[in-house]
Amino acid sequence: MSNLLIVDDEEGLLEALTIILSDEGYQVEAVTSGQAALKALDASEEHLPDLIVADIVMPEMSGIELCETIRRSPDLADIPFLFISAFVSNTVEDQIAGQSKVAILRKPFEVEDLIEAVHSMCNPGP
Amino acid sequence: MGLVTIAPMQLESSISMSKRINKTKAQLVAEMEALQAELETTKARWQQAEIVLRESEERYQCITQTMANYVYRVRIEHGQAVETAHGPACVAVTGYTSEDYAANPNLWLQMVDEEDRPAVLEQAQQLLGGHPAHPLEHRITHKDGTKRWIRNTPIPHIDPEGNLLAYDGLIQDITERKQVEEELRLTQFCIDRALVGIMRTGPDAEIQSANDHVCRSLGYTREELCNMYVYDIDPDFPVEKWSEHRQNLRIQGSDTFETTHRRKDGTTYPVEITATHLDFRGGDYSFSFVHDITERKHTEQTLHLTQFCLERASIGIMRLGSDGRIQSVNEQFCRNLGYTREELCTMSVTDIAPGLSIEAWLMQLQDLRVRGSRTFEAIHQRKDGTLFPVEIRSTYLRYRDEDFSFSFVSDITDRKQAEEALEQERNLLRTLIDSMPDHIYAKDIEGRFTLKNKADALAMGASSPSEVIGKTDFDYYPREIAERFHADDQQVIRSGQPLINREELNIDAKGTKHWILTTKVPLSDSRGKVMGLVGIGRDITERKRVEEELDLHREHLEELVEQRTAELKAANEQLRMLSNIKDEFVSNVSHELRTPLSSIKLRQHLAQHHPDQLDEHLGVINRETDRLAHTIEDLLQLSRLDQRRTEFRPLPLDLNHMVEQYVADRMPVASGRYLTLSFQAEPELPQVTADAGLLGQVLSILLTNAINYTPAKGQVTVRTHSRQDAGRRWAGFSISDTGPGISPKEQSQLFTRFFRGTAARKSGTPGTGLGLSIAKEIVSQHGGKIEVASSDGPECGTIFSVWIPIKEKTNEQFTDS
Repeated sequence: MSNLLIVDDEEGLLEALTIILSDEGYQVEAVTSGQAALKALDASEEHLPDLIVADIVMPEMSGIELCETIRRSPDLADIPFLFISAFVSNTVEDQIAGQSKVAILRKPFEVEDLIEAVHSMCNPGP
Repeated sequence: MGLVTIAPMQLESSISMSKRINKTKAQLVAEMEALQAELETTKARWQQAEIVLRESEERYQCITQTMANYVYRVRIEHGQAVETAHGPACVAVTGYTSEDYAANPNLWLQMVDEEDRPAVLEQAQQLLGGHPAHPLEHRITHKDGTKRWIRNTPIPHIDPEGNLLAYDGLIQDITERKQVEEELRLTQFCIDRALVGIMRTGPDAEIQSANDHVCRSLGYTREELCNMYVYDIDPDFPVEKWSEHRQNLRIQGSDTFETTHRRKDGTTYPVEITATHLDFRGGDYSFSFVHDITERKHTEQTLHLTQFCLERASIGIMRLGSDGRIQSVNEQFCRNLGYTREELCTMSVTDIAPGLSIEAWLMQLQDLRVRGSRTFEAIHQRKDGTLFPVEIRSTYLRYRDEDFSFSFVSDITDRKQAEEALEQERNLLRTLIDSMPDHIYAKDIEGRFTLKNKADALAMGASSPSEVIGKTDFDYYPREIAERFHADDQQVIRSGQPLINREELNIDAKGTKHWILTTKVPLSDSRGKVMGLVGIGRDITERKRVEEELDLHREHLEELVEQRTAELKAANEQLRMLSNIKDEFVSNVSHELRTPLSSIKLRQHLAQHHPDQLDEHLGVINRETDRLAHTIEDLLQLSRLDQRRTEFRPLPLDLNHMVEQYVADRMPVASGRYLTLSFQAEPELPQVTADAGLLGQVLSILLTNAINYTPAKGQVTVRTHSRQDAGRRWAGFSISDTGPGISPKEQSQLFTRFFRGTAARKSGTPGTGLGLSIAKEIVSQHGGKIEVASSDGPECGTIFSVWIPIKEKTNEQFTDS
């Protein structure tokens, strides 16, 4: 089963996501900030997540900044990112445009859409 | 040639005389011997004999004295001269007597000229040797020291045995002949060297003699010429003409005529020949002087040419006598007047110059005599009566005591017309220049005005253009300006380059400043030498003024445009900022709405799938729903405040009372969080005019924040206060806490909508980020202000102060601040 790392400063939302995706059979690690995510990745050693699900708007380090940091690290650069965003502007899309293995899920989303997105990113098609 | 013929005649008479003399001498000797015999025999006959002798002597002397010849005898013994006897006539020839010669046998030889002595000795030797000798001519020195030429003709006396007994000789004085011969030679020499050709020709035109000049002129030698005939050197004199010429010459005696001579090299030249016919000893000679007249011919030709030129000159030429009569005229003069030459030569100057009296003309001639020449204009009248202008250049001539006036007369009709046209043009130009408002002038190289139009003269303060002529700028302008003008002038004159359309500031005679547009162009003479300049100045003061005004307007306009642009820019910027704020606001609003919505959705899902934790999920759904409601409520209030749609009821308000109530209400919450909430009221706080509900909401927001962000055991203190500021009184309240301070960076963003500080996020306190924005809006609408003071750090605390201005009257309408 795939490993997920979920990053969201909204603890209520993070809890809900963790439960739902765990129900789907994913091994979920939940953290509330970008720094915590990097720390978790550092500690994971062999068991790197198959997908990182991250909120974009977070204090200290945004989801985008986290993604850029990870992409710079050769060991972690290949981990796909699923962003969850409440913004309606195109700013975010612009920021991640052209990056591979990146997808965005807009709030509010249906649970099915979330599951579908996570699934497709963890199991890339041929 | 006459002299040449004289010599042989003289010689001939001398010889016959000598025969006579020989005869006379023999008689005399015989007579002398007879007389001597008679003297010895008879004294009686002595007297007679003496008389006869005396007579004879007298005769003899008469003869000998008149004769320049005498005889002598030299007696020879044994081949030596032993005695010399000279006839008594020797005195006449030599100055010595017979006795002198008898006494000194060497006397003769001593007399012989040094140079001729060898010849004389040789002749003597010849004779002494018994040989006949030729007569010898030589020089002797007369007793008086003069040189004489003599001719010595010796005759030897030989006995029948052949012995030389003596020789007799005749001495002839030939000095005169020698002199004549010398003169003849000199004459020949002169003839030869003469600068005129001299030639003698014979009856058949043969050239008999020619002098050096003829030889030189013709290029032949004398010998060549003396074998030629006249027609060999004169192509104009063929042989056929010769006899006729000779005949004429014989009749006329002499003739002067011109002909042509041909040189040896074939070239010819003109000669004038004066030929004289000579009849000499039956000979028929022609003696000619030949003048080379090439030069004369040339001069003649030149003279003819000059005459021709004068005759054909395109200018009229007239000579007047001292009486005013026309003496001669040339063709042009006749043509000008329409008269023939013959007609004119019978006319007087007064006939062709109407209105001129002879008296007036005589005065003119007098004047001309004094001045030598004069040039003047006059009117002449043609034969047909028409008049025309002439220019006359007269010269006074005096030739062989007669006065003449020699005049060149030009028809100046064309010139007069041209002058008139020029004058008209000049007038036109002058009128044009004077009537132009522009300043026009010309200056010479020294800067003196040579032309000036009225406009410029008046501008300079002169009464008329003529007043200015010859003066300079220095006479009219202040030194500084005049020097500037002068420098410009010199620049133009030196460089030859024009100065075009330069704007310069001048001061006129009245001291008024004028802007002048100046153009200065160098003025050159026909050889291109700059002789001054022409200037044009246009008064552009008015234009300048308009330009300046325009400039001012333009500048102002630019300023205005700049200002408007800046305003537009600012407005634009404001709009852009507003647009950004709006975008950001919408974005923030949507974010703030979507997040709880997402949470609610997820919890619904979980409630369905995890009914075991239903309470928890419903709790979250309730909380998120409340959050949504709050957010929407806050947003609506802000919107109302923005659009001034909030119900605003300002009434006098006792702040102490209001604050006291609110603090009391919150006391339980504060206690629940282990906070000390206290209120310190300013006594006798003036009332403010405010909407109690809205101002209460401000207090509520600030109190909530203070309680939420102050850690347990902290203190929250509310105070009321008043102050005098900016010319008015203020009253209000403040809420201070002992929570973590707010950094200066966050302080500036505190009142931004949806902004939530670090503390808010860290504490997990729910909130919309709209509270302070609402508070600020409400305070603003009361004309008040909200201030924050804090510093970054734990327990540094923050103090928010609200100030509301105190109004004099109640029920006053609040206006936008």
